[in-house]
Amino acid sequence: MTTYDGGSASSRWIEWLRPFAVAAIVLFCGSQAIGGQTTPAAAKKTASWTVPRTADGQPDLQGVWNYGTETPLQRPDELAGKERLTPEEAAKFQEQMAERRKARQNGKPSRYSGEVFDDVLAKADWTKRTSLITDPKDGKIPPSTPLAEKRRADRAGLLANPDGPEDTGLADRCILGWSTGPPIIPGNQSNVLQLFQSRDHFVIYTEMIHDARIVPLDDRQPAGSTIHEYSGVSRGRWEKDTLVVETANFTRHGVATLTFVRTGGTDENEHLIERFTRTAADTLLYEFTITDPTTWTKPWSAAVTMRKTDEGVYEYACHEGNRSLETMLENARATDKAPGGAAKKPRQ
Amino acid sequence: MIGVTLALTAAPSSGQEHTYRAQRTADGTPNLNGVWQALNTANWDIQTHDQRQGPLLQLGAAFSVPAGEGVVVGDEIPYQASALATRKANAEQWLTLDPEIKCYMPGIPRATYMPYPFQIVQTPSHLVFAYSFANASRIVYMNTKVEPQIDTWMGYSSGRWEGETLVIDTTGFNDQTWFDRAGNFHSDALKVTERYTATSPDALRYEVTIEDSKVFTRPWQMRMPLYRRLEQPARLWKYNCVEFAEDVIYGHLRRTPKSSK
Repeated sequence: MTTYDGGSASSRWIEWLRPFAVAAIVLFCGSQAIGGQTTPAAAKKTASWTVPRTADGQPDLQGVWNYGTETPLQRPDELAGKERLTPEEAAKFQEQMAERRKARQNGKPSRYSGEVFDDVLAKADWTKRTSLITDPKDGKIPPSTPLAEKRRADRAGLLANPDGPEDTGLADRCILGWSTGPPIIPGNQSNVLQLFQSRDHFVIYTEMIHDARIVPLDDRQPAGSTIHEYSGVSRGRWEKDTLVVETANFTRHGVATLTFVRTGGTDENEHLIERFTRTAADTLLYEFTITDPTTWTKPWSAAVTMRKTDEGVYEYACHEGNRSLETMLENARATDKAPGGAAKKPRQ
Repeated sequence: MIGVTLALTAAPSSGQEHTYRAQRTADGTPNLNGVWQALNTANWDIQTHDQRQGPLLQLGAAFSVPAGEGVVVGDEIPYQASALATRKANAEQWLTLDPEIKCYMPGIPRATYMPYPFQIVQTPSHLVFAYSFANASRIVYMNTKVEPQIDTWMGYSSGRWEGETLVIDTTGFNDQTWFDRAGNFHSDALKVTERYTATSPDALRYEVTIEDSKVFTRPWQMRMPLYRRLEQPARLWKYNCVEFAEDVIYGHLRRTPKSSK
């Protein structure tokens, strides 16, 4: 929605997760999800349905798509080896989530217990998959490189007591959204995007952070190695009915999803392949494979089922109303003045 | 004054006068796809202006203001008396008040004639306008009246084709955006009607009517050409300017504020 005035991205997420983290992380993570009713491979096409075409003859992927889900990106340890839930388990978790939602609504109001989040749940389809990650088979992000581990530690240190905005996250600064990527990884709000197609361009218009990623579909050469964009530089091509988008030229600041905060973020070596396939009138399969040899020891892949919605995409004016970053820095300066805080000296 | 009236009366008919017929998209509408840019000094001042020294002496000729012809039809902006005072104050405090300096989304029509390109991606039901500056964008809903639900920076846009001309009505603005660096402004009652007409394969005529009963005494117009970026291939590079505005906004909260050298 319009102005966002939340707190630090990382602290928000952790705060929000905390009630579930101890007792119910398994239930939470393994439970509800939009989409992914079938495995990605099997979901490519249903027997009696054919993809509609645009006036230019391309598969028509256009529309507003909701990619919200509560299937976790990574499979919880407690569900190791279990790729899918049984129908009974899924039903039980769904029931428990409904109870939890009800309790939240009746309890002390908090920023993310409100209608934004519950709307997503109410409209959610329920899957039995236990992670969005499809490769590696354990449903986990591969181990980080030592370089990435150091980056994570450095960033965590800066974030704990930032000097200026650059010490906080890209989402805190309203430069990138948590869930916009690329890659697009569902977050806890504004999981809505709209796709547009002209003959020569594909537009991925994400509500979060109002990003219009314009993907040229011609045979242009990759961008030179000296130019970088926060969202990378994308090129697209059709492979039968699937739109394949290849993105490189990311900045060294990486992408902003919360997941990546915990893994130290990506860097300028990130290379991304995304695949958009319409699988039915109201579902679109989004798959991606991400490679970043200076961040992870091997590539990994995930799949998200997006569901067509009649909702609109709103203007997400984040930077224009960013009070939270101001507060984070004010808090940091207050911490400096607190007993023991003076030990933190300005960086040279 | 008579001249202004004549010009305003003549402007809407200009769309019918032209003879160029644009290439068509697959659905048969004029094809406005492409990367476009204004080439003028309207972002400095939409009215005719002399050259003048820029605000930072250290930047010398690199960031001073070139003279330019106004893009306002008749060169007069019909401010109400009270609004004129606000405009003057805005101009005097430009460096602290202009939303451009903070990398805020620039609103319409300013986004069109800032010194950065924008891209149109056209479909039968929607047009996406993506602007380089501040990574701003808007969706134009064709043949659908979108009702503003909340004030926004880039507005709610409804479009339609009138022959060769794309007409876009935009409302639902907040009162935070400006028209230029000279302090020209509007309120949240702003209504913008834009007309885009191809005059050759590589140029558009851009006409925009401004209505705002809280600030102006009558509607007024701007008009300018827009040019296609002819790089092969052209790409819209985003000017993600947030990071450059952070010290303006948050610099006082650093342990040691940076100083310009």
